[in-house]
Amino acid sequence: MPVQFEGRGFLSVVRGALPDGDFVLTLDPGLIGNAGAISAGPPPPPDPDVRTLVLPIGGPILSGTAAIGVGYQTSPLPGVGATEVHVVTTNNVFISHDPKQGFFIVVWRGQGLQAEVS
Amino acid sequence: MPDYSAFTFEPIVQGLVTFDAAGAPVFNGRGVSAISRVGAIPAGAFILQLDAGLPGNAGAVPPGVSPLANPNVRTLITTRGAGIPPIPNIVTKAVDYLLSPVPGVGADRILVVMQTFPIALADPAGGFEIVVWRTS
Repeated sequence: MPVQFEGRGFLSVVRGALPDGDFVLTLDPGLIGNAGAISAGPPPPPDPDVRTLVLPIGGPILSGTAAIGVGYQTSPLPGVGATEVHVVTTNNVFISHDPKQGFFIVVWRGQGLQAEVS
Repeated sequence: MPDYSAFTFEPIVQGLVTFDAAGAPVFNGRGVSAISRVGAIPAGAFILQLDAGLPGNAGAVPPGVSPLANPNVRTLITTRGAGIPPIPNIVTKAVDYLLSPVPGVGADRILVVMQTFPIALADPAGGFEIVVWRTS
C-alpha cells in the first residue's frame, strides 16, 4: 500500500526495507526556519536536541501498534547532519506493521544544550 | 470562560538518555543533574534527579493538592530504535514522580520504567528522548 505525508517539514515519505511499518521521511529543505536537516551535533549522533512524537491512529479504535522506534539517518555529506527521520512501528511481538490509519508525527529541536551528566 | 492563552507552559526537562560502553545510562540535555538505575535492577528502570539550577525551575515538581505529586506535570517519552531500520524493543513506558522527604518541596526525582515483550524490564535499544513540562 502506498504511503503519503500530509503536513509540513517532510518532502517525501517512502517505505523502508521492511514490508510494513517501516517509513523513511525526508526533511523538506524549503520549510521556513528549517534547513532541511537535523543539525550535526556532538555524540550521541546525530543531535541530542532532537525530539520526535509519534502517535498511531486507530481504526476504528485500536491501532495495533505496541512499539515505536525512531532513528535519524545522517547525510553522507560532512557537516550536514541527518536529512531523514526513520520510523518503525510494530505489534506487541515486534513484527513490523502499519498502524491501522497511519500516525501523527511531530519533530522539533530543543534548546542548544550539549551538557552531559551521568 | 478561562483564558487559556494566559496559561503558563514551564519546561522542566528536555534531553536524550543513552547508554555508555558499560551500559550505564547517560543524560544529555537540560533539567536533570544526575541519572541512575534503580538499586540493583539491571535494566529498564531509571531515576532522574531534577536540576535545581535550571533557570525558571526550582528543581522539583511542586507539591499539589491531590494525592498525586502534581496533576499538572506532563512527561513525553519517545524510544529510539537501534540500527537501520530503527527496530524498537519497548512496549510499555511508565513515569512516576518521587517526593522529596523535605516537607513542601514536592517531587525532586522522576522514575521512568520500561518493559519489553514478553513483559520484562528492558533498556530501549537506542535510548530515549524525554521532555517534562508543567502547565498551570
